[in-house]
Amino acid sequence: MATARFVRVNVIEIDRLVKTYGDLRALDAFSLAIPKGAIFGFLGPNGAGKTTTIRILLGLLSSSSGASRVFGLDCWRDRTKIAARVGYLPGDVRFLSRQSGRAFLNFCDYARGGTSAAEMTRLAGRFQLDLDRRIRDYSRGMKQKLGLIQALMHRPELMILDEPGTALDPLVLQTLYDELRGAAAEGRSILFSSHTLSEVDQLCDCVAVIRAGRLVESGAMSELRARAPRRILFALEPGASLIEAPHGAFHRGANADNRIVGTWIGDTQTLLDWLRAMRLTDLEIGPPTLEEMFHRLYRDTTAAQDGGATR
Amino acid sequence: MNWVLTRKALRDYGWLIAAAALLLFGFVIVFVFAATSVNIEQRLDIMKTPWVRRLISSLIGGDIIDNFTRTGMIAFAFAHPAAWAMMLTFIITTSSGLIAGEIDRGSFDFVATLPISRTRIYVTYSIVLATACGVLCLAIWLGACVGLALIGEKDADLGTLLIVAGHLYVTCLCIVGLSMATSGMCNRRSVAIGICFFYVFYSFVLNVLEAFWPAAERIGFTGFMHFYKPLPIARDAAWQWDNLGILMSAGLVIWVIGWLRFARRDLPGA
Repeated sequence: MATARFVRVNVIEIDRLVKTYGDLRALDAFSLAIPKGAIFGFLGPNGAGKTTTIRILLGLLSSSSGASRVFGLDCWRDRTKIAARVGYLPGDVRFLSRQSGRAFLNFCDYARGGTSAAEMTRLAGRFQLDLDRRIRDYSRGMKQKLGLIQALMHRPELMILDEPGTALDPLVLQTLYDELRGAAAEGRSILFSSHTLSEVDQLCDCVAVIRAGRLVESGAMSELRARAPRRILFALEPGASLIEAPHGAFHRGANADNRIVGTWIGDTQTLLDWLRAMRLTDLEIGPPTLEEMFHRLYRDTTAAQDGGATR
Repeated sequence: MNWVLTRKALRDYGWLIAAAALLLFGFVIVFVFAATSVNIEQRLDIMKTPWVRRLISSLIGGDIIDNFTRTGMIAFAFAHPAAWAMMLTFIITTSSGLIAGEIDRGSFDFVATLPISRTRIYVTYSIVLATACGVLCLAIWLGACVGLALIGEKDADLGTLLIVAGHLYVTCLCIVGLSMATSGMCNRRSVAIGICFFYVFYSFVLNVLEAFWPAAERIGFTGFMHFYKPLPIARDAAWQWDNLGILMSAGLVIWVIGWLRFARRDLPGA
């Protein structure tokens, strides 16, 4: 697994970050550390606080309390120094549409010192984007590609990409993943925000899940996969009874064709011991799925919040 | 000052600067022709109508009948409502588009995440706008020069008219201060435009009211027009340093407030 690749130096450190808009707490004591060289997935449903966190990291928003540092620099005070070393793709890409793609990229390049012409051309070729057309004539996907080229062309030490897969077809998405893997292999870091788990699952070394401004899960993908639930399906012999699973590891769902269906959250050996203790006529064990795990995380947090709100 | 941002501003609004300058230049030539084509008796008759006389006095800051010279007449071009409308529309449209318009559209994220400080962004755009205002004031003066040359008029004092253009420029700088401040503080372009136009409209109405209603004189100082009087400048051929000082100070204070707020504010997403 790629987790061994990155050096344990954090490029991003967020400590008990709070952001309020009037009565609304968009971020609530949110803490996170992102190691150098990692492709870090930042997951959460819409409105969870992903974009707010990213905008604070870029110095576009100030925090109400707490600390946020990129490369050890304060995100608000040192935002101009940080900007020189970061590539950013906004979640909702908008451009001044009168200019051509090339004019826009040249503007960004000159503002950063004018050293990215060759990389710009290479990336335009990789993403198959015609830079000489006016941006107003670009499709949604082409605008997304332009935003990506802008974020990658100066070979930044840290790339902050807010839902980069939006509007991209699968082939372009694969090209993007290759580019990001290449950047990470060079020791550059990527913060990759998404609400699509499959994107994060394919690409990321580590992941953090945010919900209603709070961190609900964080860790290496390999660790999370080990903890992810497995779907199991089995049938008991007539007269045999279901034994209660140790530590409540089995979560029973609705029966299907007289077979018991459910998910297992726990280690594999305990699962095998538990199944062996019962007399089975049929058995299916699925691979661990992060999808189910994240759905559970979202549901659990929502339930906890609803409970809290009721109280 | 940042040259990359300067080029961007000129690429986005250069055509508007050129169009406004040409319009003002052409307008003043036409004005000079119109002002000199009617005979003196006719002009005096029109201006002796009490409400016309007061209205013109309020715009140019003095009684035209008492200063009925060629230079005094041409100085009216520097305060003509059509010229003001063009100048103010240009300043407010451009300034609101440079910051608030881009925040509103969502394209400002790209500018704000470049390694250019917000102070630099604000200062650069302000300098571009201040320079553009200089070009427009010069276009008015050049229009007057060309218009007078075309009709073969040699009585008007072009040096004095240049002083009037200088006062107009400082008045425009005051508006630039206000419009850049509102642009830097607002998330919506329409709000920035609304605030500026409201203040400009208020200043014009107050200025006219001052001519008809003495009570309005007490609050006359709250409008920028109170400090811009082309006719006395043309009459005395001298800089009105006190008015220039007030306009520059007011514009600078508002501009600095806008700068401090813009440098410290949150920039929301689109």
